[in-house]
Amino acid sequence: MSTGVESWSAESFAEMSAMSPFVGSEVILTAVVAVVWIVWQIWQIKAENARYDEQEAKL
Amino acid sequence: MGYDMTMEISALNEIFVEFYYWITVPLMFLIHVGFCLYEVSISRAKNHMHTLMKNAMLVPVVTVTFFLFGFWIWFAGQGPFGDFAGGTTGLPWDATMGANVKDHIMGVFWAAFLLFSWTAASIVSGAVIERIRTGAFLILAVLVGSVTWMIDAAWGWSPAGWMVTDWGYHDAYASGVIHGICGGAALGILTVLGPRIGKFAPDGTPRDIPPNNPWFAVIGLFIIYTGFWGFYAACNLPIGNVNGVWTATTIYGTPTTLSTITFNFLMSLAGGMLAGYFMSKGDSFWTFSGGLGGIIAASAGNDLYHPLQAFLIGIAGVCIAYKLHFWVERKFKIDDAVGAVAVHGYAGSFGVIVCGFMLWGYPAVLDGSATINPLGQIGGAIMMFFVLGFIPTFIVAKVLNAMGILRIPHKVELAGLDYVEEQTRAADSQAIVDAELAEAK
Repeated sequence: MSTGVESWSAESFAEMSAMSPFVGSEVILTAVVAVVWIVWQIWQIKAENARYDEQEAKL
Repeated sequence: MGYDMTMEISALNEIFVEFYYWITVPLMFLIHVGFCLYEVSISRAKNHMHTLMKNAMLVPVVTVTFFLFGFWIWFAGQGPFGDFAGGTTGLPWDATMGANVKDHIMGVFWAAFLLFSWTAASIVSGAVIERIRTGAFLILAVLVGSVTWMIDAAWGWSPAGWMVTDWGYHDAYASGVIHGICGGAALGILTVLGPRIGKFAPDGTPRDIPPNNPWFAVIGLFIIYTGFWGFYAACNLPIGNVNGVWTATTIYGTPTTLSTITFNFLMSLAGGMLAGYFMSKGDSFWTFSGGLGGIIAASAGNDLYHPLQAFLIGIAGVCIAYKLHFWVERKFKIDDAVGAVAVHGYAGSFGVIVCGFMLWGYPAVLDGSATINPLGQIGGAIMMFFVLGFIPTFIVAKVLNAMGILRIPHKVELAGLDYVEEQTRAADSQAIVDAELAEAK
């Protein structure tokens, strides 16, 4: 079982390009990271709005 | 087997280039350190932590979006106008965008561009302190740091960009490509955002809101100067063969030397500081900002200017930017808290235009198929400041404002953006004191 590179031998190294594990999953990873970014941005705006609502109520 | 010296030299050259770019990245980190220190020092004590966190959080947000699509825009947008078919280079799933034994440089090159992106967003950040919501700012930071400045870099900051090949646009150290666009972007937001409460008297007279810590503010600017060296170095290819001569080149592939840019960086800094001191009658903030403005004004042509020319252009750029700042403030009630529109936008645009006259007729690209000229530079300055700078942020700020998420609520702004944290901190401290007193009995 290997998630990527199985050998650093001269033959393997000469043919190698990508060295990271799970080569081929990059498009899925891109989609996941894009979702993480967008969700974080939405959460941040909501949290900030709630904070200011609370603060306004106290003032 | 014979010793292949050519291969050794080629490998050494590649390692040198990789290391050269890599070292520019930590140097450019200092620009962000300087911006944070400077912005926090300019803000009032009641807004310090909000100001710091707003600027700091652009780092992760611009970084992830720059990886997702920002870097790709630069590769894809080069070429004729409207041609956006640059292949997969720079996309997150491209083979070079990660650990790859066949490519050693892409990550370093990506980081150098990314640090420019942080700077772009950070320039905007300073202008809008003490009244913009962090969430709104981060959306605008992505727009400027990962989209619009990358479009202008594709068009005007690459040898294949249509503004270079069709207009002869030249902007070696980004007077317009970074500073002009960011000044315009800041102005676009400020127009919608409005001034800080108390900035203008009821009769419209502007009031000075002094920095909380003027001493630290100028130290921040000093640190930005230091980081600026990394920026200048990153704009060059350190060694290349230009028609049989080994020399450093600009991003356009045209020749320059490290000696030239070292002379001109320092001379334009000196000119800008003298002008800032003269115009403000010795005000520390404007003197140090003048140094920055001087470099920015001369940057478009600092690959070729004589040092004395760079010095004089630095002086002229800062005098114009200073006058324009206060004229725009009075006339249009624009509250640019750190003078970012002036130092970056006006000085940068002036620098782009003056370069068209100073370097008139010089080849814009190595094969001489386009030449630098005043019209191309004036068009370039308008493109950077208004078309790609002002207009996109103005539109997005309008949308955010209509959604009610652009500006801090009035009462919160008056009380201070750190009000809740300060109250909590005070309560926690008091609880500790009470507990200690109880234990001492």
